[in-house]
Amino acid sequence: MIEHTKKLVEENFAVEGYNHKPQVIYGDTDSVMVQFGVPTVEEAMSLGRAAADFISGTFTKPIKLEFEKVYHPYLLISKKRYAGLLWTNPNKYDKMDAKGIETVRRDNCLLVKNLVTECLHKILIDRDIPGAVQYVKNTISDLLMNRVDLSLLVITKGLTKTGDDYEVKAAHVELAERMRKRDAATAPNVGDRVPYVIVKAAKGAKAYERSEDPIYVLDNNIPIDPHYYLDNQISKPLLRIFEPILKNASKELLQGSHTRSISISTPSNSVSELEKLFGRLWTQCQECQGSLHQDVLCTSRDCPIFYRRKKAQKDMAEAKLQLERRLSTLLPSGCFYNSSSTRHQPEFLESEQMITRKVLTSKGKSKVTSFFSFVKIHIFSLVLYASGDGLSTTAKNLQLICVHNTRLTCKNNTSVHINKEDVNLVLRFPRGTKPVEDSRENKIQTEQHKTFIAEIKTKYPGFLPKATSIQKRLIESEEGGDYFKRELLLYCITTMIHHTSHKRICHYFL
Amino acid sequence: MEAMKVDSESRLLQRKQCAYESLDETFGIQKEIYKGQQYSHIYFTRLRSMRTLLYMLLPNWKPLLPVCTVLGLEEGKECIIVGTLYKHMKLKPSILDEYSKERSPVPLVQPHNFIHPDDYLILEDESGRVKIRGDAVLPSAYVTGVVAALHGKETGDGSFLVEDVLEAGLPHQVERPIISGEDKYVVFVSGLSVGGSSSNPLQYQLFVDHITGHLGDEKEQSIAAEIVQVVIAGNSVEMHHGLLNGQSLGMKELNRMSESIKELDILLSQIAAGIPVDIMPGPDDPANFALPQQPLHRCLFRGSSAYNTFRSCTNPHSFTLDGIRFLGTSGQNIDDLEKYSDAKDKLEFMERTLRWRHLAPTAPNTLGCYPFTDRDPFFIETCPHVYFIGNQEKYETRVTKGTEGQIVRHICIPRFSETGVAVVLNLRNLECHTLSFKIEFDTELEEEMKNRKNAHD
Repeated sequence: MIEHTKKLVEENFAVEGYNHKPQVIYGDTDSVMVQFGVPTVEEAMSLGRAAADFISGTFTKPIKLEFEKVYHPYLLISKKRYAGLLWTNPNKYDKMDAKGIETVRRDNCLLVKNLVTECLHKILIDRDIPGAVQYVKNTISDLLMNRVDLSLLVITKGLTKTGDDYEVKAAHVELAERMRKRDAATAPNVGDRVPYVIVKAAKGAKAYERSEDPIYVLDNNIPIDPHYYLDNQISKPLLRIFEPILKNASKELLQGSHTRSISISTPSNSVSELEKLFGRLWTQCQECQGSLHQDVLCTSRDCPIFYRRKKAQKDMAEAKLQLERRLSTLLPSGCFYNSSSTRHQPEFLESEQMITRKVLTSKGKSKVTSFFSFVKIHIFSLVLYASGDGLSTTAKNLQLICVHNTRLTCKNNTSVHINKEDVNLVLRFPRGTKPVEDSRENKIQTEQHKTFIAEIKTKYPGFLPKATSIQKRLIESEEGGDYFKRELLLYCITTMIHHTSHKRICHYFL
Repeated sequence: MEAMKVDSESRLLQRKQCAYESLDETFGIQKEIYKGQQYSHIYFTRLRSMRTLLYMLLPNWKPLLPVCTVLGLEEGKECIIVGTLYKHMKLKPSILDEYSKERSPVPLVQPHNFIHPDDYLILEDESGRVKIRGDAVLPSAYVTGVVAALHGKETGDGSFLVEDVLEAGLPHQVERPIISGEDKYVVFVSGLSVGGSSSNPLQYQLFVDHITGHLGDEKEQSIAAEIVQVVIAGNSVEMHHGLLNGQSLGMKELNRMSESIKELDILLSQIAAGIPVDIMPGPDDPANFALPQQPLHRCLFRGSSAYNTFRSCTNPHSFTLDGIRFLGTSGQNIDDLEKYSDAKDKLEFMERTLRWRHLAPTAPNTLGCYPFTDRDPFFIETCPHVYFIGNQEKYETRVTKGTEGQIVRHICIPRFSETGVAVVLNLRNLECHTLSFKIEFDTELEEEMKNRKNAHD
């Protein structure tokens, strides 16, 4: 009967003056699809109606061929798989119709479904093939960079019988078995749909060995295997769509430069973004639950934000900790920029700038002598500032500054830690790991040192800085590199901050 | 003591000083961490503290009526219930919309708020929730999260017919100290958006020079010397967020990112050298998103953070100056109220929040907020004398008087980058006026600049 129809249509419905012959392109048990090749939907529709009437006349009654719909544009992929825009009246299309394509099947993950729907939409409605290609590339890149929401990657399959009854090992069955071993109470039973994701595992592991419960993945930060999704989930449906319309579809879509950068680790968002998401997700759950005063208990795994809200909570905790850790390296504990202090220190800043300038410009041996006075002032103000009294401090307080390893203790029992970050921060000196030897070894008193002590004595009577000598290598070192700066700093600190018990001078690792 | 030098060597103007006390402690987040807690706790503590307060007020309001919980309601019995209001809104955007199957076209004209005539209120306490009917409570005036006492009875269809409503009212106010004869000014500014497209560096410099007393004659300078505090209420910088795309940035991009901050730092250090300045984070600043926003990090301000007159504060921000209590936000709380409820102007929203005794009732429902477990930091215990919000369209101000004789000055601070307006408050009598900075190039100058540019080319 289809053959009959085909013959009739192709013989009788060639449009005058238009050199396209009608062609039956696809027929099923009870329907045929004819490509008339006319330019407008309206013409196709009238032709379709006429053909239906004409052919019905040739059938034995009561068999009738009815005109049903016009597809424009139309994408025929294979038998029983096609998509197109459906028109039943010539003015506006009714909807996008897709048969047998992944948009309607449910054994794939949501990502595939969304991707295919969006592509068809772009191709059929917007007629924007480059846009569709770009969209695919972006999605693949997102997948590889681990920016895709977990709930989009969850695959669900119904568990119909227990593991022993299955002949082939299937991912969801294996997972159910493993979950039962982990905790029998929460494991899925026969009849449940088992949600799972495919995770990274040792090379060569079978897919069923790599299936994992999404909750478990979130709790334990297990990385997802993006390649599984790319190769086994996305590629086939995409190629089916794009192969008819794109040259080298597979090469273009699946192997382009967008697939180069791969990130396995969990993505880190900014704290403010996460906070926004956290608020929106959890208030939505409160809304659904219909209660503000009770915790959200919902465990519906079919909810699209179920995994997301859990992930938001976890990410938030992590991001917060990370931020705090980062900030603490910026401004170490007991920092000099103490906001409760009543004094600001322009002198301090000035001296700092001056030293930096001097360190950068001076040459040769003179560097020691010329910087010395400045660094002195600087370290001095540093110590004083740390003591919270400022430069106006009297000599009395000064005497009581003592050093215990890296701790400064002041008269009023406040203590301040100076660690290497502090020093780095204040002097903006580069950081290194080279340990500096105990500088107490050499007990040579140099001229500079003597004058310095004399200076201090006249300025602050009663204060006796006992200190180490300038190390020989400091004086001898010619270039003003990082090493020199470190040495100089070390010297200044040990000069100024002297341990009263004579046991040990500070041991800095700069 | 900061002193200002004036050109004439004969006179030295002394800047006035003021006793400052920060009350930001409740808005700080130090030890709190995210450990799986949810938002129910904050509603619970809010309801508990508000309920004790409302129960104390009940004897003066309607002493004869019994007090019920939602669970204890009986049909036809008149009673009072206290609970948290929840507003069911048809148009409220939901995160689930992202997943909806139908692709709906985005309307070109975004509605300025999400109010719909079908919205209705629900009252909830620990025992349950009940739908509210009646003209005594208009859904358009209330938002989710407000705690109130309702008088009414349950009707046959299971809803609660409200006859009267009691809000907590203005909190108790500490009496304002009398400042004798001496004018002291506080300058409020917000929405500087340094580095933004609409910002004009000259305008900022004029503002800074004016308040620090570098402009004008001696008379003007003597007024500038009476400014005791500057408050910057949010959105001080505009960052190029487009550069942040998850990938690590190169030196060049980093520099571009930090450019606007450096610019702001220069301005701030100029102000801080003369006048104490408080800077609050706003929605567009490089701070966290959820309220209470934590202070902008001092490392951002290398120059100005060296001054002890520079204070990086939380948002909301609360402090006292010579005993006068200030409370303010960068505007998020009121902007959110505007989206989900209706009033004749912004000041009315502000008045409502004071009456509800809650700075941000819509947090956490529609306004991002940290999930506190043991307290609700936005509960207003003491009535401020000055209540300000930043980043508004235009300057508005009004004085409200409470039933117990509380006097509150409400101020809406406009965005400086758009309007060029800063608000000045006189501490002596709480009177307000604006400082307006406008830059206009006359055509001749512009011509000349063009010519010069051409010559360069």
